[in-house]
Amino acid sequence: MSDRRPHMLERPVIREKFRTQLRSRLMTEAAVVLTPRRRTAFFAQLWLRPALAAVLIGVLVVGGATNAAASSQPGEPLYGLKRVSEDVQVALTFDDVARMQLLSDLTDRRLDELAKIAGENPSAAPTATAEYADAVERFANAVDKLRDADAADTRDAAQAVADAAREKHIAVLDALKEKLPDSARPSIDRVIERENQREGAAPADQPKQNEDGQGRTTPRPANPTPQRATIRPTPRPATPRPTERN
Amino acid sequence: MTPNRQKDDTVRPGGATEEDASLAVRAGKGDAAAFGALYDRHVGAVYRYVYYRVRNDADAEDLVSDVFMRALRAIPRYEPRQAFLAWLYRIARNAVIDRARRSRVQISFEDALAHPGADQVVEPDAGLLALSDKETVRQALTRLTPLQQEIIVLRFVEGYSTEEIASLVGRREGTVRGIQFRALEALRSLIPSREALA
Repeated sequence: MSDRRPHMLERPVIREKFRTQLRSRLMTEAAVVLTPRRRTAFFAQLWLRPALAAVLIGVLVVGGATNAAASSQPGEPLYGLKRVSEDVQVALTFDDVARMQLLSDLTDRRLDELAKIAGENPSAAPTATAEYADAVERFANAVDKLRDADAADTRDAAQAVADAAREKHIAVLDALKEKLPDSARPSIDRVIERENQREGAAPADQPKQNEDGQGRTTPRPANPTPQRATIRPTPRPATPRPTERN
Repeated sequence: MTPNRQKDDTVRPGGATEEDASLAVRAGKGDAAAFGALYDRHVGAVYRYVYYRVRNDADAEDLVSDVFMRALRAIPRYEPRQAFLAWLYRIARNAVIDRARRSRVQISFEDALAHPGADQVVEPDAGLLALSDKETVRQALTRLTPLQQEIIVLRFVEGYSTEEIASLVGRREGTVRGIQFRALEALRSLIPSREALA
């Protein structure tokens, strides 16, 4: 903060009347927008109860195995079941923003697994790295999709989640790569390098034309390569996925 | 409405972050009063942010209204890992850009460089802003790119440091310095000096 300088342009002051009126309007709107929606009376319908009971039993049976799989690590027999249950969860998440958040969480989970593998079972590190790269790819695609959304708040949400994920992942990967075997390091390095390259890239919500004010006077190509704003994965190594091996 | 100087209510990006985040989380869970508190804290900053980026006061007020309406709808998805002020400025940035796209009044930086005299710029001078009529500056600012406008306003209206601006706009400090330099260079070509007018 050493280079903070006094205000060189006059600071406009908002009209008090406008300020008060807008606040009042926002508070009225907030009462509607911020109120959680009431759930429908789905479970109250009698004819659905037998079907729901059957589904519940099925869920309990599958859930038992899924719980056992939840703590499995890449390379373990139940890990495939864990991944399938996650895929189902993603497929059943219909809201785009919620799906992107879920994919971000799953990417975090893959990273946690990779960190754990690095300490406990380095031989499985290439598999864990591939799983992580796969998760990053899906997350990146989801964010890119939202960044093209018409709604500004959707774009904001995508950018916020992507920024938060990038910061966390770079820090963890930097700390992690020294612990990994040589066979897994190139993939990690490529992911980190991608992230570092991307950090200087322009957000997609900025105008495409000379948005960083670099003073470019030559026209851009008609179809410039789009800049990805999220973590890009490295190509997957040839290591088979656990489900394929088991 | 006439802009004038007032007490410095600038919120530093690193200051009150936790309190803002806490209020935002509460607002996202349905606490309207918490959203009201965030409005009270930041409405002035948002107004100043948009003021120099549009051509008149009515447009600035419309934009402030738009920004907080968008923030209200988006706040249930606010991530406390991100500074609230940076989040709010991002919404304001998008609102300004969307409005400009609709009205098509934004002029590209290439156009600014093509302005007569642009190639004669030798040394940009930030003091130019202090010496120029505010309406002249305002009109000139609307001819910069959105990012240049943003950085000039954050720097010379809000008084943020380059480091703080970098964190707010998500760019490297060196990039921000470069954009600021070129923005001042463009402004110098767009704002006639007093000597020239005399």
